[in-house]
Amino acid sequence: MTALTAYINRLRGFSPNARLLLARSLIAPLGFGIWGVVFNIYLLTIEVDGEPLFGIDFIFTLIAVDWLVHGLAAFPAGLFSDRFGRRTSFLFASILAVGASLAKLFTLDPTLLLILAGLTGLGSSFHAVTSGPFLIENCRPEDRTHLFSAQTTFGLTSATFGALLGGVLPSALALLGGTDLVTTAHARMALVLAIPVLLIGLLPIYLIREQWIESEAYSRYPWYTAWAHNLSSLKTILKLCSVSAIAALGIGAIVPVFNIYFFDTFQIGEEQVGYIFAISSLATAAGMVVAPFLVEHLGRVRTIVLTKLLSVPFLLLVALAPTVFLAAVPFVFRAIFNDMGGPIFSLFSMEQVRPEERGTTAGMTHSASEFPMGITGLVMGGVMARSVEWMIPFVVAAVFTVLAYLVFLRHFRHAEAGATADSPAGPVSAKAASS
Amino acid sequence: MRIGGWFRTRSLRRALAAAGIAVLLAVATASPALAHIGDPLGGGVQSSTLIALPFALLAVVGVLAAAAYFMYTAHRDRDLPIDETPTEPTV
Repeated sequence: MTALTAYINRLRGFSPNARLLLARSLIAPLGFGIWGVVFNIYLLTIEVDGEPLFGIDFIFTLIAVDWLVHGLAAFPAGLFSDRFGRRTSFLFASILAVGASLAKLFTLDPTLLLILAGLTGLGSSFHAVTSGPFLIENCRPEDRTHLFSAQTTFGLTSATFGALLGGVLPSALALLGGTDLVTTAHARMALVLAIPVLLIGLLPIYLIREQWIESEAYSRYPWYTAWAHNLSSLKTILKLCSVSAIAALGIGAIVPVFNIYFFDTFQIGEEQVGYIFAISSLATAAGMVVAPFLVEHLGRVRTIVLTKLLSVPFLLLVALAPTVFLAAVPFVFRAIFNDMGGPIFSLFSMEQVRPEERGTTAGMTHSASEFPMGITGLVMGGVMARSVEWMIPFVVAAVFTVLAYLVFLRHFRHAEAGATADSPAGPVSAKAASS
Repeated sequence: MRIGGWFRTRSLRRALAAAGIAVLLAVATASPALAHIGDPLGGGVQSSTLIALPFALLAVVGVLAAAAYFMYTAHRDRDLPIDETPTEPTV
C-alpha cells in the first residue's frame, strides 16, 4: 500500500461531520481566495470621470477593518459557540461572511464597504473560533492530529488555488473580450463566476448534524454571567493565552511586512513576491502531512516546541540572505516548520480544557494573539520609519518566538498524559455525530 | 527509539513519500506562475494567462471534486456513530 493510499484511507475514516467540515475547508477558501484577489482588482479598476475611485490605501483600510473586527469578535464568538452550539455558530458565520461579500458588489459607498468588510471579519472570526472545538468533538482521539493537520492543509491548498485562479480570471476574460486591458466589467464578471463557489461552500455546513445541549451554567445563570460560571480551567486558559500573546508579539514584528521586505531589499516585482508566497503556502500544506507522524513519535508538546524553534534559524537566514533566491528558500522552510505546529497547538489547547469551555478557550487564545500582533506592528512601524534596518524586526520576531515556546514548554511539559486522557468528545457532540 | 531507528520506520517513510508527492504536485501547479517570471513566450500578459489558466482551472476542478467526494461519503455514512466509522488505520 502506498503512502498516499494510507493517507487517503485515514481521511476516509473520519466521522461524517468531520468530512463535511473538510469539504467546507476545500470549497470556502477556494471561493474566498478567488473573491479576495478579484475584488481588490475590481475596486482598483473602477473609474469616475477618468479618475480611479479607490486607491490602494482604501484596499489596506478594508483589510485592516476586516482583521480588527476578526480580533475583537473572537472572544464573544467563542462564548456564542459554547452557548448555541457549533452548527449554529458555523451557519451564522458562513451566511454572514458570504452575504457580506456578495453585498459588496452592490455598493460603491466607502462607508458601506467598510461596514461590509467588518461583517466579513465577524463571520470569519466565528468560523475560526468554532473549528477547533468542532473538530475535536467529531473524531476519535487517535484521529485528532490527522484531522487538525488535514483541515489546515486543505484550507491552505484550496486558498492558494483560489488566489491563482483569481489572479488570472480577469485577464482571461479580458482576452476573451479581445483586449489586453482588464476593466471593471471583466473583474465584475470574474466575481460573478465566483459566486456559485461561495454558495456551494454553505452546503456542507448545512448538512452537519448536531443536537446541541447547552452546558449547565447556561441554564442556571443569566447569559451575561453564565460564561464566567462555565469556565473552570481559567488557569490553563490563561497559560495558553500567555503563549499565544508572546508568540503574537513576534509574529506582528515581521509577518505582516514580509512582502515589503522582499520588495524593499531585493527590488523584485509584486508578482514574484506573490509566487514566493504561493509556493510557500503549498509547501507548508505539504509539510503539514508530516505533522501527525511527528506527534506519534514525539508527542504534542515536543512537536509544537521543536517545529516552532526550528523555524527560528530559517527566519534569521531570510534576513541575512544576499539574494532573493537565498532568502526565498529559508522563507519557505520557516513557513513549513512554523505552520506545522499551528494545528497541533490548536488541538492541544482544546484537549487541555473541559468540552463545554472549548469555544471560549479558542476565542480567548485567538483574541490574545490578535492584539499583541497589532502592538508590535505599530512599534515596528515607528522603528522602521526612523531607520530602515530590516534586521531589527527579524531579531524581535526570533526572540519572542523562542521565548513563547520556552514558556509553553515550562507550563505544559508534563501535560502530554493529561491531553491524551481527555474525553474523546464533548457532552453534546458525541451524541451529535451518532444521531 | 533512537533517531536513526526512527528514520527507518515505515510510517515515516510513508509520510515522507506522501509529502514528496504533495511537494511535486505543488511545484507542478506553481510552474506556470514560475514561468511567468521569465515570460518564456514573450507575449506579456497574454502568454502568462494562457499558460496559467488551464492549470488553475484544473486545480480548482480537483479541489471541488475532492470536496464533492467528502460530502458524498459523509451523506452515505451519516447514521454511523464516531466509533463505527469505517476506517483502515494504516500508520
